[in-house]
Amino acid sequence: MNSTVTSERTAARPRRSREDPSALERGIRWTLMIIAVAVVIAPILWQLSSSLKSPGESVGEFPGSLVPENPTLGNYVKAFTSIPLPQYFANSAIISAMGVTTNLVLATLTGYALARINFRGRGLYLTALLATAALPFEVILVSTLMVTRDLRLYDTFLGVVLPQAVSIISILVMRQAFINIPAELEEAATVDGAGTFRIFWSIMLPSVRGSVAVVMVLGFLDSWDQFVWPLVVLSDTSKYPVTVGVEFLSGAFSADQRVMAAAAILVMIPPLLVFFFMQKQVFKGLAGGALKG
Amino acid sequence: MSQLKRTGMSVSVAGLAALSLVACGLGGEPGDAATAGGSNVDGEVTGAITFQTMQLSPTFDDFINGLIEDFEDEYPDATVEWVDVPSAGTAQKIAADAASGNLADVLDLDVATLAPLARDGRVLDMAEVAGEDEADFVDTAWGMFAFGDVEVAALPWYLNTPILMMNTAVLDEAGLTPEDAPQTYREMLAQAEVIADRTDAAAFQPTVRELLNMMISYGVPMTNEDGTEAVVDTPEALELVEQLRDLYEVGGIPADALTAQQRSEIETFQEGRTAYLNTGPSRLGIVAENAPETYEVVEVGEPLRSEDAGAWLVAHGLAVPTTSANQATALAFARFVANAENQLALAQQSSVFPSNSGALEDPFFAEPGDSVEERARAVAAESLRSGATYDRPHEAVDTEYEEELWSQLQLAIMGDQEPAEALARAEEALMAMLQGRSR
Amino acid sequence: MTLTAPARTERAPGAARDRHKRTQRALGKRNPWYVSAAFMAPVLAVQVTFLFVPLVNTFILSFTDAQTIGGGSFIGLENFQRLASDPLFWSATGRSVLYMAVVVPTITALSVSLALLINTGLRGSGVVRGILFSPLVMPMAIVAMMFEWFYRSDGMINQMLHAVHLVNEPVRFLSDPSIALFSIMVVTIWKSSGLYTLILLAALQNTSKELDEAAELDGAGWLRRTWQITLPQVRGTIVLVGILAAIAAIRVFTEPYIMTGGGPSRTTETIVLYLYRNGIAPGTDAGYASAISLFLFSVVVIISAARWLATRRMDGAR
Repeated sequence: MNSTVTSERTAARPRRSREDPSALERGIRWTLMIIAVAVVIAPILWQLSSSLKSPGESVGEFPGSLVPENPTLGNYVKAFTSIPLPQYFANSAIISAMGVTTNLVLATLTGYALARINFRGRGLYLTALLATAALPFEVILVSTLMVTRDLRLYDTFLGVVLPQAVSIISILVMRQAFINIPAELEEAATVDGAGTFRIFWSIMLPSVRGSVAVVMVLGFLDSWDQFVWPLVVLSDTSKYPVTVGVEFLSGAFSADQRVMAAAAILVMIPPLLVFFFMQKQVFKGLAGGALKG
Repeated sequence: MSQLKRTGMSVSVAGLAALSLVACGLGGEPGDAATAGGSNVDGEVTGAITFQTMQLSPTFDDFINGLIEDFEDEYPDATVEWVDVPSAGTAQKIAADAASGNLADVLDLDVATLAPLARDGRVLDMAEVAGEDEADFVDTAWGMFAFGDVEVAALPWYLNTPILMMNTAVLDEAGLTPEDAPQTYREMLAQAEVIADRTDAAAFQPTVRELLNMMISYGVPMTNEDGTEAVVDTPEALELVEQLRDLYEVGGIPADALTAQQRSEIETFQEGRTAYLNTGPSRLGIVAENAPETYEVVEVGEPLRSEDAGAWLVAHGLAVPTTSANQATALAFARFVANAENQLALAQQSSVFPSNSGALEDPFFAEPGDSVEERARAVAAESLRSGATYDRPHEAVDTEYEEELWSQLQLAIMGDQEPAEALARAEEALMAMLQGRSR
Repeated sequence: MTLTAPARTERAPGAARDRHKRTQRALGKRNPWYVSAAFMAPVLAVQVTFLFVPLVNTFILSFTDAQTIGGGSFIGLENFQRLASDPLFWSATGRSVLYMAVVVPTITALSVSLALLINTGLRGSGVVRGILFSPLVMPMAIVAMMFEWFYRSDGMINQMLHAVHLVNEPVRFLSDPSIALFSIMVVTIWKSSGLYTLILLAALQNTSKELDEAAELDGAGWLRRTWQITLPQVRGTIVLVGILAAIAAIRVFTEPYIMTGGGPSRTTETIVLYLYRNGIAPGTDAGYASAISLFLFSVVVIISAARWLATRRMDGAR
């Protein structure tokens, strides 16, 4: 009803300067962006350059000489051959895939319940969750190990994944996301006669796509970065994830920083990829200007 | 307020439920089985055992597998499974395994990681079950594994003892030559001023371990006779701390050294920012790998000692937990790995040293060769043979002790605190620590 | 569809809370117990087994003198007495509180600003975004190395400060007891902001574009629109970010551990570092570590409970 009036008003108004940045503004934006990128990417660049240096070149402190004189892929080869890196990567992939799934399922279910179902003990549970979040995992390490062993999950991937199946942060993020959904959506669906689970599946979940993406990234990172727990619960070295396996490249006898740098780069790639694919979900549909910076 | 009451009730119900679950869990603590096990080494060498090492893979894959094959050939009914754990996680893994009754049968551990197990009597006393082997081992090594009631908590395996690495380019700039290399810490500290004065580099980077060694070499007793009281606030200690402080001020010690990470002293040396590095010969290989330019100008010399003590010693030992289900086999394997032949073989393909005196006599260690590595090896072996090494003044001076001492003296060395005050506080804290242990 | 263009007053942020409450009450009455049970059962199954039971087990250990390798006998409240009288514990606690006090507002403000900036145009292509958020995936060891290099006595920051004659001597960022903790805070802020920015961006996705456009037409500038329209809609998320940052700050361990080891002379030792040092490595007093955890746990419970009671009382009065 108002639309014609609105569009006339917009047409009559002069174009806002925000949508038409001056060259100076654009220049400043670009410079800031380049500086930000440079600062952030510097350590990765350094690792990359170290990983490409040949044995005769010094691998100094950060940043040292950034451009390798005789670039070589030999360090990557060494990383792959001196330790069973593909095996470790496969293990990490399995563990992380499981971790992402459990994190996703559990965080969304729990977050929804905490946000939109008023059940008894909800406040109690939330408080317990928050208080537990403040504690480092090491304090329950041994007790958790004993429980895992009693359940015969020692030295299994399930034993690695289950104790950290869902992170408290994920639950809290999903809970907040569900709280943020306007009530009308739910009310409308309720009027249409949908049951709670239908509402959850068809209406709520699609509305929190962005947070789901964040939780998936988080779940992946948490699983991928684990070190102490897999080390303690696994006894078969062929099951080690890549974070543990990479430790074998450095030691008292040999600590070739180039090979370690190559391994570090390789280990960083999957999380970066996961983030890259997930971030579209977060950045889609943001309010505000139509221009891409 | 009924909501609150209801919440209160659900809390108590949940709490009770959890407690009962836990009580069941605690009741069957494997810890009981551990101490009840005791030693049971008479038996045949059969069955399966697990052998856990600290980060020997992948460098020694072939060697260890070869060892296992040879052992299994000799005892066809026995099988050995090898598990290698990165050093970064070993302490936590051992603790978790110990608490859950799941330790491997033969453990390769260094003294620091072995300490908690040994103190609690959870390992076989080698003096009892393998006492006849004593003569085979270097004295200092055999004595390194004494903890509390356990005389020898592990069969000595491979050792490391330092040599002094020097960056001749830096020395050159300071007008010094390798012949001027210091023999004692005192001499090095004296030289440090010169180096700081004439070059951009520092003389050395102190570490937690080095600080302790310096103290010992200056004659600070660290503890009393039976290790129940700390003794660090002595005039010698004061002299040392004051010297270190003065050095810090003039740049004889790298400015960021005091909060730097472990092992960063190797990196500092690699980068040519320090002149001296007193550490095991195995590090030479690392310097060669990462900083070929520095490696070219490296020379080695005898390690820093004090007048009456020797150079320090780091040892790995093979321990058998009392919870092992197959103690006879485990012990047999441990003795097999630690024998002269096998220790020599290990030393020949690495830069560590055997604790077996027979192995040390081998010509491999005797003649200084052409390369820096060979010279390093000869120097270190001589240290070991001649017994010019020591381990710790008392077993109470362990990693926790070292780190507390370091912690207490950091500010004083940087000039932010009076050395006398820092030492007094350090003694207080260490005293409390030792007394807390003997409770 | 019944959902088009609700009256603007109903959509105003202030009314959101009331609507939320209405929905909550309605849902609470409507759902039979097995619905909430079905939703919560999976997570409870996992958490009770692998989190809460071990936690209770650990808390029980705080009344014993258990070591990291097990064992231990009952010693009553001794650990807590030790806790109360150890000045090192209280300084560590003080430092953790300071850490929270600085880090939480900074991270929150930074994340909100970044999220808003990105939301309203400064977005860049996917690759640029990937790069900007890469601190999320960078291993702590690399981050520590980079910052240590920045902070060095002859490092970039000191060189810049010297060049503009702000200081005469190099600033000892990591070894000066009065500055070191703040230097470490910078690392935490740098590493964590990305995640919280992402969370806020996800929340901003669901803000009402119509409201925003309508306000724009009414002549409100960007700042005013952000302050009065956009931000209130994500208020809950901003609070969440604050809570998450507080949790991260109180359990901070890796940054100080790697960068200064708690030094010099324990001046950067936070609560978890203190716990680690006494109860995990090199100290082996697991009972004491458990006592510290129980203390931490109780403090958070008390604070949350107090907050919960306070808000409930406020709602009751309405």
